[in-house]
Amino acid sequence: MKRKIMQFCLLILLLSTFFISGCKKEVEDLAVATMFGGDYVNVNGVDQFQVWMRIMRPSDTGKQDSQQKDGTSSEYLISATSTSMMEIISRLMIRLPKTPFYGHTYVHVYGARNAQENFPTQIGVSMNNADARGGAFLLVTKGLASRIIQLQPSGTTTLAQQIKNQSERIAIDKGVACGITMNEFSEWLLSPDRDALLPEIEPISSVEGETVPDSVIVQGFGVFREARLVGWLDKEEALGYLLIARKLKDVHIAIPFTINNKSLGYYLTGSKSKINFTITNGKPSFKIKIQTVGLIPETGGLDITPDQIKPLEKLISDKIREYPLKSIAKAKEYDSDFFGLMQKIHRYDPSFWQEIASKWRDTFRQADVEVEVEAKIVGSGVVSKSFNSLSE
Amino acid sequence: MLLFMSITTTAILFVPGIIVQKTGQSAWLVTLFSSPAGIITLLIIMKLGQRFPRTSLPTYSEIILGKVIGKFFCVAYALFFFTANTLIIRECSEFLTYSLSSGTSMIVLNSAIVVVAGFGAFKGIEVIARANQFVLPLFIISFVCLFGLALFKADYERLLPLWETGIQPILLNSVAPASFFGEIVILLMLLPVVNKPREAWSKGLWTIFTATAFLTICALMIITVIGPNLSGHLLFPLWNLAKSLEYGNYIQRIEGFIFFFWLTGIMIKTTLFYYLTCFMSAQIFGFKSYHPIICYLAPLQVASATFLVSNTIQFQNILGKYWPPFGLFFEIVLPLFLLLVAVIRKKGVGGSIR
Repeated sequence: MKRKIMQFCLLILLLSTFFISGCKKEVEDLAVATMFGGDYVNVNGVDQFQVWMRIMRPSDTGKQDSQQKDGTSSEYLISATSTSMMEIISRLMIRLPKTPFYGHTYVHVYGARNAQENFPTQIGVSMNNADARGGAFLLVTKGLASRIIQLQPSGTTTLAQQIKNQSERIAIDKGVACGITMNEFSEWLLSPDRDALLPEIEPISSVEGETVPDSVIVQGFGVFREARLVGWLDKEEALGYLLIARKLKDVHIAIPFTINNKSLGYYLTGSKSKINFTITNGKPSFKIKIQTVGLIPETGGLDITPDQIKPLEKLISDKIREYPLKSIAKAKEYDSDFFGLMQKIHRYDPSFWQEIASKWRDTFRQADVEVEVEAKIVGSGVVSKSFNSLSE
Repeated sequence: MLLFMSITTTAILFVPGIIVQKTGQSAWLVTLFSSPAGIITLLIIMKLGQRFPRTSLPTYSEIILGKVIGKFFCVAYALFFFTANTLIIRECSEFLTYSLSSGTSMIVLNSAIVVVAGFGAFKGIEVIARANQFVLPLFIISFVCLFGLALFKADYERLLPLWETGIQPILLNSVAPASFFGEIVILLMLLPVVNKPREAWSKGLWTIFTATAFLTICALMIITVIGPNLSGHLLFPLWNLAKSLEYGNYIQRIEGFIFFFWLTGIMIKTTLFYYLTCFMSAQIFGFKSYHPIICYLAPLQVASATFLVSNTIQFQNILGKYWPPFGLFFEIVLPLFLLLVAVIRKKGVGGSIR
């Protein structure tokens, strides 16, 4: 009897699942945010946060399909402005017909003023969100984030997907920036021995020379000092940073150089670096050794012979050395150790770090940094003899 | 297997965040220092088990301490298991609230956990052990996958400088995980029903070593992947770690996979503690069956897990500050006291623990 009652209860429980609407409806009830934009603006004389969000349109409405055929985005924008981030969140929520879901927000773009004045508040709120993903990419722009978030995607379904691809792959592949995740950036911000940086994103026209922006470019970095944006690294300085701080693998970075008024190109495919330091009379000196490998596909008409390799490698090494040196000069100018040089001291010489912990920025400013580059040519591509002889 | 599940499933929730906050990049050493607590508890239990073979705690505590004090002693232990289970249920529901069920009310989550645990407890220790036999390999596989994927994102330089905070904070903070290792005290009740009690010592030691390795790897992965500074600011660093592991468009959102087995593991632990509370209460009060107690305790268990702690901050404080000394008192001090009295009063039989 008892067994039959149990079986009956189980049957009722199983049958009740017919009346449960299931996950699908719940997913449809969500307003999936794909991208977040944060600005700090002056509205009527009051400094306020301004938040923008791109929300996915539901894909099952017939109207939306026709809209997409007309070229309309598969996302829509919402925004709110207030002096409090919590107030903004509630204002955004009441504008939405559905529950917001931030688990797909893979791109956060911040305006320069926001990053200069109120960054810890914004990052804290973003990290505090239970749906937030530590792997989301953060970027900073020179103007307002709203300029970026309002653009339409080119080549991808969503703008977030486009920026994610650019941050994750294209920028580092071309040596102009690299993706920084929310976890990585937060760890840097909270570190007592280094500064942070974020890739720079700017609106751009797809056609060179056009002035109306219709796409975005991830190139360069925004430099932070004590959680405040203090400056920018251009394309070349960004490459300098990447050569020092990152291990580059399977990249395709073009480094142009000239010999006898002939333009050549070194195609950097990989690099690694090693940072060593010595302490002399209480002053640290850093020695950064960078090793690169690459090809010379653009020879400017020169047919490279084996005995030319060594002098060419020397020439390329000297050329590559310019990038990290520029980058280091900028770091000193901004008084921001985004390379993590002082972190090296903290990690490998903790007793010396104890001595300088309270004045580590002064020590960083005074530290000598020497860069040595060893560029290696591993080939010239699949064409063994130059085509330029045809024009001659 | 049950002991491993009991130690690890909840020790990886709040504790890593608490210890990384205090000891930074040296947090992974804390678990190494806390595991001796488990070995001491195991040694005491084995000595007691060897003096009173095939006898449960309520019976031999009355032999050692006398009928009245023995009863009080066992009531204290029943309350200890009840309180421990309250914290386990609360940990589970707090984790659910912050991870996947953010909109669900705490009382609903606690009720669901207690209903499932009550059903398991009703079925008895053998069913719990068999369920654990099925769940444990899946739990381990899911975490091996997690650690395997985390290896590629680990930055081992983040472990430096070692011992930066000195030995004192590491020793002081090893108390919190030590109380989790001390949960091996459940053997006081389980030893009489173990099929091969002679193997209990070696298997118990093996459990402590593997649990230590597991928790150490957890701490190492958290520090090297997320970083010591950020981990100390997070409530559930391991959850953040699972969420941040993504490789292109192929491997994403593995936290759902981990979460399923993690939750199942916590359910096994809750069920076990629920069973022990009911079984012990039945033995103390001389009931023929512990089954009715399951129904009486269920509302109490739900109410205590829901209302005893008013918020997460308070709960984290309890787990980090107040529970470890309280737990270790029941896990090491009281069993040691019982053993000493048994030796002094020459109760039970002598012999080797092996």
